[in-house]
Amino acid sequence: MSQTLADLVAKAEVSSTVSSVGEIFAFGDGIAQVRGLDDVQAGELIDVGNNQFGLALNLEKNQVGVVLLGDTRHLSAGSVVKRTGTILSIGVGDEILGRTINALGQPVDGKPQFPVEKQMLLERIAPGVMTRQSVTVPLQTGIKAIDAMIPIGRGQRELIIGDRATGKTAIALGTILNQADQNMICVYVSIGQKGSTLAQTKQILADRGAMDYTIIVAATAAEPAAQQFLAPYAGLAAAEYFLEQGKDVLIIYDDLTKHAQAYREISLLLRRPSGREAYPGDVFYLHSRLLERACRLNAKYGGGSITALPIIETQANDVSAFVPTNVISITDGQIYLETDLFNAGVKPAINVGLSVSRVGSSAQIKAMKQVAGTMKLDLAQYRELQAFAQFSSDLDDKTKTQLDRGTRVSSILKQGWDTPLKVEDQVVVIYAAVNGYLDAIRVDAIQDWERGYLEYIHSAYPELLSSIVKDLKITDETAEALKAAITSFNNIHPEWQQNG
Amino acid sequence: MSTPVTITTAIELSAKQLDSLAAQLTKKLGKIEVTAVVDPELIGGLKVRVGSREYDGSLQHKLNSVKQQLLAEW
Repeated sequence: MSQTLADLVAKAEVSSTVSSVGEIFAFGDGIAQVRGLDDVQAGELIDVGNNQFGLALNLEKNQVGVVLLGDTRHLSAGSVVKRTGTILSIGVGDEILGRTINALGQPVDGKPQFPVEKQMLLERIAPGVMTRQSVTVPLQTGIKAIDAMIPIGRGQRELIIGDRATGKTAIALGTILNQADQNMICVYVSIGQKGSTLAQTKQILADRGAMDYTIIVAATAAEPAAQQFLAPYAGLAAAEYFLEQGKDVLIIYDDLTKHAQAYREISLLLRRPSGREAYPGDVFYLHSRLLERACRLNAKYGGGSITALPIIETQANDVSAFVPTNVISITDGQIYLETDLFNAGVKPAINVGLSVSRVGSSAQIKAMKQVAGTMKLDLAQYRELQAFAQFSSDLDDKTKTQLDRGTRVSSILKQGWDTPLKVEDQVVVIYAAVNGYLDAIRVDAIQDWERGYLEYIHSAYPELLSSIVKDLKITDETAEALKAAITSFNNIHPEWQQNG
Repeated sequence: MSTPVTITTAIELSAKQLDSLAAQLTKKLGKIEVTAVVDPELIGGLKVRVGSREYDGSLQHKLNSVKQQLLAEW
């Protein structure tokens, strides 16, 4: 042991160094004002001693504003700080999967450091137009309402927006759970959340075996605002490591509202001019440069993709507030969740009318397009009819049928957050709903019906599912076989039929 | 315009040592104004600070760098 130590000491390189230094002349609230540091670069890491670092964010004529990134109890006015010459980056390696890191890339799950293979910059220019490819491969969330009517593709940015406690994180987690066999790496960035909530999330992912392909970046509410500000970029840096290998990555930012608030806090402390809602002038750029790096690269550049699902929390359903409108204009669509729907038992509480996916059916397999093609329009017509029918007691048969069909289709879209469905299961369920096979079923029995139906198809007609998976569409013979299967299933279960 | 230069050593330098150091620095920097500081924490060697550039040849710094390298390898 001592021999090895002596060897190491003998091998150690010792030399004098030249460094660019500065002196702290004002220090407080996590910001240090430094004199000196003459040739510091914007966004450069500053060594403040004790293995802690700061970020040089404000480059002014006579001073540099350094945002501190760690424990700063050893600092005071007069302390000397040094340039490191490196722009902020984190170390990433293949073994980062399954780990929890903080915004500085350090493991916080109690396990040892994973081997670092590459340093990835936190701030990078987004891939240019010529390196990209249009989005055509679906990202299956496992949630019927989304995969059918608001389909997301790999390389898209889809915003999940809603008030608190409407199921935003649940949709994100459900999507991660569904990526088990989809060749997808997931990054979950937690910004400003409670430590207990993150612990629960980690437990759920670990229990369902999702941690094998997931990385968690944690910047909980107790972390300094600077770390909460950097966390999404750290997550994205890790995602880009895998993107460069040609892999598909899903990154979830939970949530960007708290991210904007952390950035506002730092900007106000740096005395940068503030604008609407006291946010700094570049709060749009804060999110646009983050989300623009989610893309699908063409074959020449590896063919990988990063799909981003940012989450924004609104106050009292106000989507016209500053940060929500910013992010809505940046993303390729939004999934809008409403408290009223949630309280009425519609879970996921997606408002299909206000939700949109600007990539749309290009990101759906043909089978799904065949069954869900007109579902969004049908549901919109149903909702209008519903409002009208509330006040009318005498309805003609045609209207009644339309209402009944609409109720059943809406009901079939309800789903438990942790029960993702494979796309072939979704296709056969929606096929039954839109082709009227549910019309004779009682509305309150629809959930039971769906469960029983899927069990039935899996055990008695698995070839139907495998043919959909293979051909990615419903051929005429599959359709015929499916019709026969549904009819026979309905015959076996008269207890769910309504009388008369 | 003379450039302010701060020389920090672990023990106080004699006048001869200080003058010879100042002469070397004047060759590189032109007219300089030297401030000598004593800081026992350096253990040995010296630090020269010009503006915001610091040349650190102190023993403390070298020992620290050995410590960092050992921690990295261990």
